[in-house]
Amino acid sequence: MSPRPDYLILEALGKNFGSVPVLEELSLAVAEGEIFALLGPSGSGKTTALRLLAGFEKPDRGRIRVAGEDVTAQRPDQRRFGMVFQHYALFPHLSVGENVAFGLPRGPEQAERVAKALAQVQLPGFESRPATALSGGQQQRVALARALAPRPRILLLDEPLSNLDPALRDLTRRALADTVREVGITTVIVTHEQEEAFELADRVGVLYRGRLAQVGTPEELYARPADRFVATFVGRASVIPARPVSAGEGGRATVELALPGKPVWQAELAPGAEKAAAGGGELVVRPEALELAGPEAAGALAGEVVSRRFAGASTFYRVDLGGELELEVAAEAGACRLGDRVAVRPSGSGPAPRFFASEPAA
Amino acid sequence: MRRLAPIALGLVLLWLVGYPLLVTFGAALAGGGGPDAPLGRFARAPAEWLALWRSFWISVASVAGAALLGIPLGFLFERRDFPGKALLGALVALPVALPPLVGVIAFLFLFGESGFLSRAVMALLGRSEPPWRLAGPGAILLVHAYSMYVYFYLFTRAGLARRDGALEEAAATLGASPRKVLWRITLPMLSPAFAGAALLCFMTSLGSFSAPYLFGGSWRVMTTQIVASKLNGDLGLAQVETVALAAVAVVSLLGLRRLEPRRRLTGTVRGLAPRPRPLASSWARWGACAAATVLTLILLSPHLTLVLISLVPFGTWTLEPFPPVLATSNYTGLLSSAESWRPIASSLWMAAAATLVALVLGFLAARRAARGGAGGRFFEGLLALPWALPGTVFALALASTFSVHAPWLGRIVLVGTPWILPLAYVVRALPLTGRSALAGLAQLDSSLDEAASTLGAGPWRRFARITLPLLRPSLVAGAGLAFMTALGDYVTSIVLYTFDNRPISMAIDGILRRNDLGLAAVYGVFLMLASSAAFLAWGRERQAG
Repeated sequence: MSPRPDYLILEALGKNFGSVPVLEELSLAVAEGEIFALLGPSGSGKTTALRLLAGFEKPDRGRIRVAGEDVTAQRPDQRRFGMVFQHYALFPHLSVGENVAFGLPRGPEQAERVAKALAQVQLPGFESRPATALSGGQQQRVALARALAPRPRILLLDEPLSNLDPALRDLTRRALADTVREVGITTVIVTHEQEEAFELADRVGVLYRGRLAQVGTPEELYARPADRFVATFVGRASVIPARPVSAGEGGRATVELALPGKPVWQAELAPGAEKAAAGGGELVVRPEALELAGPEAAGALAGEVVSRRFAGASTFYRVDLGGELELEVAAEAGACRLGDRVAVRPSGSGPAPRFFASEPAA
Repeated sequence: MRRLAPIALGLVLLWLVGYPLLVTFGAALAGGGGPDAPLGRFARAPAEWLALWRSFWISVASVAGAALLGIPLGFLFERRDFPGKALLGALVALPVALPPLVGVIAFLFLFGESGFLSRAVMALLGRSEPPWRLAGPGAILLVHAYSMYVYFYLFTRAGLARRDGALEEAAATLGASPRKVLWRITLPMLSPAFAGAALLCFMTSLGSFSAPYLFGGSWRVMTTQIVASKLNGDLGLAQVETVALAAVAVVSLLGLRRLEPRRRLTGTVRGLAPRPRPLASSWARWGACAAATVLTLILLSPHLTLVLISLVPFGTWTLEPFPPVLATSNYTGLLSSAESWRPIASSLWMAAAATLVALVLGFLAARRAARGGAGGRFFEGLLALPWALPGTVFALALASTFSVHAPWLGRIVLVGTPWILPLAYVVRALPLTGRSALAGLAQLDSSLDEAASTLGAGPWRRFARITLPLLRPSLVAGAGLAFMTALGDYVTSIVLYTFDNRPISMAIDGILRRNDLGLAAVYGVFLMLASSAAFLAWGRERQAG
């Protein structure tokens, strides 16, 4: 049986708190076995979306379907969704084994299924330990084992790594990804960390102010962000005020930067930016799409290096252009020093600089 | 059904807690202010205003006395390290667990005219008259300070244990001397703890009945005035007095709340509380230990006296400074006499039944209160009310409400039946069980319940497997306090008891009039032991939680 493309469906899901809409018309289809991440800053509505999915809150509008079945009116205990909570929510008065067994039917198979679930998260034989005596990473794995043991239809992960220290996070993230892929369960992750979403998920939906700003693979989101928010929230980027002066082919255009000397760069127009082409907007540039150049180079912007951040493969330099504008450029480790006067121009490689029209004043 | 349950619960609580107050209030105002109406007689009687004023000032003085005793004690035990600190520190807190009546009779046996101290003085000076009389405001104040210092002691210790040591260190690096650190940093940081202890002391003193009743005589405060009016058969006047006392209590509570510091005194820096200073020389360590031991003995001496008196057979101690015969005959007498045993049985079943009912009602109400909103505040208010008002107020309100047969008004005759007293115990226990459950619910992580629900557990299974086990410490703590309060209750009992359910406090009351000190002391020791057991269980569960 091939995986169904729309196993989990959210139909125009909406939720208000008082008169404030925290989630507006969230529509989404997740395929069977797919790992989907809802990525957004705090206040974007991602936690509300997760709580609606789990059934802790009732939506004001819209429906939720799983495998064709409408679960909108079902209570959490009827949905057969598993969930790993941000703080794990292990029952402190129960042992590890009792925690994992909590969602399993009583019977001769229970102990065996507990053992299997714990083995799956590399904690075999931990049954009789008190749940509170484990390290953070171990608690996270017990929480995962507990959620997976009853063989749920959907797995929900709420900021699964946010409570771990950075050293442990990488390791746990990989272990988590391995386990979830091995089980092949349809998974929805909610997180505010792009790295987490990109490593774990097949597709990512970026939530902003209660709306889905964009859905796509990590590559799509990074290279072709749909709007200015996605462009700056996903990955590092610099923003320069600009306006298009002539449209080219395939959405390309020449834009004039609002800087002394009015330098001209080549850019891609974001969808919808053509219509507003006459008006102003902003150019968003990734650090790897920029390079350091001689001050005489065409279109180069002069500035002073104000900080450097070494990140292994490349080093990121922040260049102050004056007028509160800064560019971040990726270059080699010894390319320049703090305080150097340098010039920056598009390198022609990496994701093309992207132009977004200013949003009409609300 | 889902909508009816909270309404039914609200009505039951309102009927128990709010309605009797309303009835009393209405009755007090009914006759108007004419010279023959209760309100008019109250307003025109200087004695009434004097009693009200005494209630107020004696409460203020009790707070001061308790603070003077409790705060230094708290500093000694929290800031110094010496041998035997844990045990002595726990013993010093014990008086809070004892019913006020026990403390009062213990005082009587130690400091009273025929108590140890006065006999010792008489023997030393060769006098045949007692050197003093333990009566009047001085005696009341002494008992209050002696039993309520524990509030200041416990709050000071808790405040010191929670304080941010980094602040004191910061002050020291800025050149402040230890004395300046104490006055400018440590004590101001403790002000919320002091305010909390003062509030408890004040409200307890305002509602205090045992000490003024047994030591005040004709020197009346409002609580004794109410009971005197009621026992004289002047219910109307008693109702007006009750309303007056309730008004003073509410106004004082609101006023003291306002005095509490509004600023949050927890800084953003979270340092650890500094460890107690270990005393450098062993002389100092053992000196501190000896001082603490002597202090503890002095503080517990009334209760030790009680144990001693319980061993004095009836009629064997006349003029000697020390009882010549010590025997267990009072205890064996109690066990062999059905008549003497009955008050204990009555108190036990009434306290147990009232605790159980209050536990269920309190938990249900706390669950509603925890949901917040207007409904939540309504339930929280109902839970707080019996705590804010003196026991006398409720005793009289219940006596007024349930002495009339008017079922369509929610009033049935319960006064004179054995049911009114346990019902009164329930009302008094509600804030203890309810607020304790509310505190537990507030600490309960809601994601645990949600986690259980995603694992397929329905509401009942979640309640039995998750909520109840996790709330157990709070529930046991509340139940322990409620049981202690009901077991040692005096004021509600004196107004509402019947011959069939005469509780321990009324038995003691009767025996004291016969001057059979030994048997009274045995009852006192029983109350002391039962309360200490409940207190220890309470402490253990609180730590577990």
